[in-house]
Amino acid sequence: MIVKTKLFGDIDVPPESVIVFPQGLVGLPSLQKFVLIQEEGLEPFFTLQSVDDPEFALWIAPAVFIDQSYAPPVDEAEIEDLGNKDDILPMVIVWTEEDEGGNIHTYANFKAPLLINPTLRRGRQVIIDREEYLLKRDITAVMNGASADT
Amino acid sequence: MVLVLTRKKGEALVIGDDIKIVILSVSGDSVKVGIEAPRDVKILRAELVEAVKDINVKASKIHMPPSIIKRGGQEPSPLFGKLTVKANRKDGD
Repeated sequence: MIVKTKLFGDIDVPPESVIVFPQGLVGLPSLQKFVLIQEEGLEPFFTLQSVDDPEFALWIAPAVFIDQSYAPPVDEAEIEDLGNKDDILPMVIVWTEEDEGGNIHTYANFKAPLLINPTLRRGRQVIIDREEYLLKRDITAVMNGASADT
Repeated sequence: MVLVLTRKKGEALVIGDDIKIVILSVSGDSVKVGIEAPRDVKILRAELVEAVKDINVKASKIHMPPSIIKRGGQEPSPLFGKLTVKANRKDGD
């Protein structure tokens, strides 16, 4: 199938590569089908491209790539339809912002990770309602090569 | 459509078969409510959901320059292998 995207143009996607978020994303319930696009040399960062909206694409990365200790407390009832717990990979949304001094900072949302089961091709964005899980965590130092633990 | 009801301290509301909301106390402009609901009913403060939505929308509009990734080229989980689609950006963006 051909998926139209703003970033990559029209791309040919095997139907078995489509990941379904049955509830959509938080606040965006109509965005339910996505494709994980991998660009050469940028692994393990991916573009999560909406199949429904060519303009909607998010940068995501496995949460453990940025913070090895990341293990969000998720209610079992909430992820019942995501299959085997051990197959679920938490991914975080990553974005950049420029500060007043013109420096680019990179942030990741650790409060609302995307839980993806690649085997089932199913995902869900959950909200971890605890203070220590930050909605906007500055990961600039990690992006520049520092260890996440420092 | 919004249903508006007035309740007093100690009074409650029932939503559907298994959700109950009790007004525990009122102090100034703060209202303390207790909620009884099944475990699979997620209860969140509305402003938190709104904040997550705002970031989803904002992040989708910022196309990160690949140059920001200095630690790229690492192997993702082999689980992703079958799932990912390889693509290149248009116009060397």
